[in-house]
Parts: sequence; structure tokens; C-alpha cells
Amino acid sequence: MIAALLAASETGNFINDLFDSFWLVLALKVAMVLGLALTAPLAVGYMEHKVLAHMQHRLGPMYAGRFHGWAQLIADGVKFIQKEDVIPKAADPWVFTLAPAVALVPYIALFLVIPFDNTIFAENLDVGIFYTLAITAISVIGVLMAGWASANKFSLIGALRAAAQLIAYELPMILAAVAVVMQAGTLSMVGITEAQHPHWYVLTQPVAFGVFLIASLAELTRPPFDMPVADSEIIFGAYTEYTGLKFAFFLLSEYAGIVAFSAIAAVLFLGGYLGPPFIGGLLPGPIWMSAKVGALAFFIVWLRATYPRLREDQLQRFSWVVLIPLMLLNIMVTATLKVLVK
Amino acid sequence: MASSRSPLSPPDIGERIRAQFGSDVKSADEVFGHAVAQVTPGRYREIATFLRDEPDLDFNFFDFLTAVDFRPKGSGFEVVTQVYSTRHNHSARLKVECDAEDPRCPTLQDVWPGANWCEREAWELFGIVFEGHPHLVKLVLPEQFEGFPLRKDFPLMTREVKPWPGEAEGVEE
Amino acid sequence: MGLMDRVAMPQPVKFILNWGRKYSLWVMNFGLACCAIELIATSTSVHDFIRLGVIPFAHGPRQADLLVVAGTLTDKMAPALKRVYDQIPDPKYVISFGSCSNCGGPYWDSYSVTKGVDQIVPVDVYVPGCPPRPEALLHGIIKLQEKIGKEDIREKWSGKLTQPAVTT
Repeated sequence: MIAALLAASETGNFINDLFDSFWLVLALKVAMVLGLALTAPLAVGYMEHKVLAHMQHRLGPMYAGRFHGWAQLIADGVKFIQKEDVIPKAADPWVFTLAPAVALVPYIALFLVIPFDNTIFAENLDVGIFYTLAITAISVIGVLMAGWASANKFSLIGALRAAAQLIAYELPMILAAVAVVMQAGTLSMVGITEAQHPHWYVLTQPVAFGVFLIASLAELTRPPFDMPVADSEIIFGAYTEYTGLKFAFFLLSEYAGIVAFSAIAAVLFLGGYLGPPFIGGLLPGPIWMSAKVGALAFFIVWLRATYPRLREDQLQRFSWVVLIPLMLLNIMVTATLKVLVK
Repeated sequence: MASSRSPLSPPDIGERIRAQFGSDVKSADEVFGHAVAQVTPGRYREIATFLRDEPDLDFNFFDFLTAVDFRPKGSGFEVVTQVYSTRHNHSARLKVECDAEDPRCPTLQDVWPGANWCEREAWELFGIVFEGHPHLVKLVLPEQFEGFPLRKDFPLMTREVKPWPGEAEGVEE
Repeated sequence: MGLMDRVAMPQPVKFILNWGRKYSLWVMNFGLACCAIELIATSTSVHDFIRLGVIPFAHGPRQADLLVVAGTLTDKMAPALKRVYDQIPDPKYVISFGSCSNCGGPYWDSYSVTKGVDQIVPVDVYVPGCPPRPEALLHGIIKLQEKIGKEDIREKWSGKLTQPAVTT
């Protein structure tokens, strides 16, 4: 059944159905991905301001755009465009300038494979989840480039801490995804979603869901894992010397990462664009998908308001000593059950 | 294991120091609950070491060191040191007089390391030279500052330019 | 800065650019003394200057636009203030908060106090008080936003010191 569904969705991309010209289809897909990847982070950023504010019993931005400050992030963008671009004298100019791009582009490219319905996606790669996890690892290089090229000892320390953290938390994330892939039997994102038709994988693999969320928080250096970029720790870690638009790109990559990882977690564990078992047909797929991504993004922002941060050694210990053995155990149990139940 | 707390009353502390050092202690009073002893500069360091090492006194915490400029009304400078015992919960204050023209005072920074910075500060603000201090350089003032600002005869440039408004009301000096 | 400081912008573009700078002031916390407590109090829940778009607190001078000097500036600290101010990328604004940074304040006759931070950095808005209430800082920020709204970016980028505006 999975194979039949896959065969249908490979050519079932709705843009492919609309037009025949390859170049027009390509342009539309690029526009779709860019549009989503550059506006969803703004919405999440605004939500973060407001959610943090209301959780802290205050109001958050109110004046930018007159109505409850909805245009706050647009004002930030307009301001960052006008900022002077400072490159330290001892910095490596090319590496310094390219680092924000290397940090941001993987999260944009990730939106290629995220399905919003069984025909609404940009590309349904056969190796969807593999491509996703591999692409997110490239942003680690962006952080290292930023820290190295800044010609600042503290940036370098921050970058090395960030790289160590990101590498440490890649593994639990990948292992959690592996368990899901084993249960679904396919690497394609649409295929994994379709395989969750009667029951979402959060019911069969709750531990993997939790670990995937924790690991993606650490991948994004979001609180409580934000020690490499925390104010009171190391100024801003690898990004200390960045001003203006380059700095805005790093911020954008953080929020784009939140959206991207929420989307991946929704696809892997929460059934993607499928609704709950009996009422799923009431609303179209994109609504369910957006709701799930929004809920997970809200949860990620909620954690920022709630928890203090982990120290470097606590962070590493948590990953290597707790999460990885747990995920390996999870894989063994999944494999065993898959063989037995078959 | 900490020994039991037994704070001595200020007169008792004064008695102990007098008993040990006799006429080198010029006076020993009680001021607002603290024992205050005026001592001669000759045995100042010995008295300080005695305060630190004597088990019943056991002043292990260096509170502060500062100075007072008594010229022209009195004679010279006075260095004031306050120490405290964390085990017995009692304090003592030592006062030693310094010369008006060339103020010098023995250092206490090898008895209590906490005195190191306090003596540097007293030196740069009053000009009192602490003999035996290893590193008597500026601490809180900017490097290019000239003069000893807390001395009574230091001219405040701002007051030269604009006299203090209180003078118009007949307040002295 | 490319075209922006050489050509007079048409009014709508100028409006948008000023609007962006106005509502997105990332503040670098240069709290030195007691006024710093009032500055921090303004950033917390009850008064909350994040409503006005002033996002606290920029991680470092490179990510900030607004420098709020709050507290007594001593002669020893003055070079550090100048260095931090220089590290902030243009366009930047300075609010002098409290009477010690306006004019030396109650310590005007001291041997070690710089009498007014405008001897070191160009100030846009002075907020008087000792210490000023958080509402006074909010008033000062609103005055600064009004000033930014009427600004001509070419004049700002030409390197001239800005004329200070006194709050009433």
C-alpha cells in the first residue's frame, strides 16, 4: 500500500500537474520554498516576542505597525538593512561574509522536502529524511566559519563550543529518526506521513519524539541549550562581530531552523498533514500541518521562557551518556517488535 | 571542626592587647560596640600578627584599611584598619598615626593578604607610603592623574571654577 | 553607505527607512551606577520598553543601535565608553540617562567624575532625574523616536555631531 501511495505522489505534485514547462515549474517551486522559508520565521519571531512577553506578565511589542506590534520583525529587517557593515581588520573577509549564508541556506533548502498535503510539496525525494538530516549538519560549518573568521578569541571559543554541541546532538536526532524510518519502511517524507495513517508515531515511539525535540533544540542552540550564544556566557559566541544584515541572517537562520525542525518533527511523529483518526477529513492537510508546526514552535518558545541553561559539560554528558544509549535501546526495541509483529 | 563561638567584649579585647603590648597601646576604647585601639607604629605589625594568631582573638578576616587626613587641625595622617573574627564574631579596629610631612606606615599585606589593595588605594589617594608593600601602583585612579586627591590641601578644580553654593549661606570652609 | 547618503531619497522611502530605525532600537546596556537599576526596571514587566520596539539587551555593541549611558561616568571609565560607542555600527543613537551622565550630577565637584557624557560621545536625548523614573526613560525613548522620524539620514551619516534635544 505504501508503494502504491508513493507511486501516486511521485508524479502527484500539484505544480507538476498545473504546468508542463520544466523552467516554469522550477521557478514556481523556488518561489514557493523561498516565500515560505523567509516569511514563516518572521511569524515565529513575532510569536516568540509575544509569547515570552505574556508568559512574563508584560505586553511585548505594541507600536510597530499600530496593531499589537505585528510589524516588529519587519521594522527590525528594515533597520538591519541600513546598518553599517563592519568587518574586523584581522578577519578573513570572504569566510566572514559567507558564514551567514552557509548558516542560512541549509534551512531554506530543507523546506524543499516538507509536505503540506499528499500533493502539496516541492519535491518528494526518495531519500527525504536522509537529505533533511544531512543538510542541517551543514549549518554547523557556518557557525565554525563565523567563529574562526571573526579574529576574536571569544568568538572562536564560542564556535568550538557550538560545534561540539551540535555534533553531540546530531546523533540522538538521527537515531530517533532512524527508529521512525524503520517503522515506516521508507525514507521519503510523504511516505513516512502516509505510513502514519491509522496511528501517529508519537503513540508508538513517545521516547523518540521527546529525544528528537530535545536534540533539535540543541541543534538550534535554543534555550536551555544556548550556552554557546548566551549573553552572559560569551557575548554572542561565534556571531559576536557581526553587524547589520549578516547578523540578521544568523537570527533568521535560528527562526527558520525552529520552523524547519518543527516541521520535520511533525512529519516524523505527529502525522504531518494527516488529521486525527476520525476528524481528519474535516480540514485540509495544510491546516493540520501548519497547526502542528505552530504548536511545536510554541512549545520551543515556551521552553525558552521556562528553563535555565545547561552548562557545557552537563550538555555533553546529557547527550552522550543519556540520550544516545536511550535511542540505541529504542532502535533495538523497534527492530525486535517489527520482526515479531510481522 | 570550628571551635565554639565566644565573642569577647570590646573592653576584654582591649585588655588582651594591653596585657601583651603594654605601653605601645596608647588607648583602647569601645566605639559603637567595636574595640578600637590606638597603637604606636613601632610594634604595629607585631600587634597585627598577635591579633591574627592568638586563639581567643583569632581575627582572620580583613575588613578594611583606610586613612584620615587630620591636617591642619590635628597632626598628620592616621591609618585605620578594621579586622573581624569569623569564628568568634567580634571586631577590632587599629589606628596608627603617621607623620604630616612624609607619611609612612608599615605594611600589613603579609599578615592579611586582603590589605594589599586597600593599602594601594590609601597610597594613591592620600600619599601614605606603605613600607614593604611589593606593588604600590595606582589602583582606582586613571594613570595620568597627578596628586593625592583625598588630602585636605588638594585643590578641586571644579570648586575653583565655580565655588560651592553652600558658601554663600555662611557655612565655614 | 551606498546610495543612501549621496542621493536625497523620495519621501515614501525616507518614511519607511525612518520607521524601521524608529521601531527597532536595540539597546546596549551601559549601566554604570544607580541609574542602571532604573534602566533595568524599565526593561522588566511593569514598564517594559520592549513595547516601543527597544529590544533589550543587545548581546554586544556590534548588534546594538542605541546606547543608554546610565550612571556616573568617571575619568577612568571614559575611554571604555568611547571605545564601546565606536564599536556600535552606524546609524546609532545615545540617550544620556540620569543627572550624572547629563552633567556630572550630584558629584559635579569630584576629582574623578566626567561632567557629562556629551564630552565623550554625542548625545541625542538627555533624561534628567536622580534617578529618573522608568516612565521618564519611556518619555525619553518616545522623544528619540519622534526625532528619528523627522531625521534625514544623509545628515546623520555625514559625520556631524547631532544637536542634543532636551526633554521638558
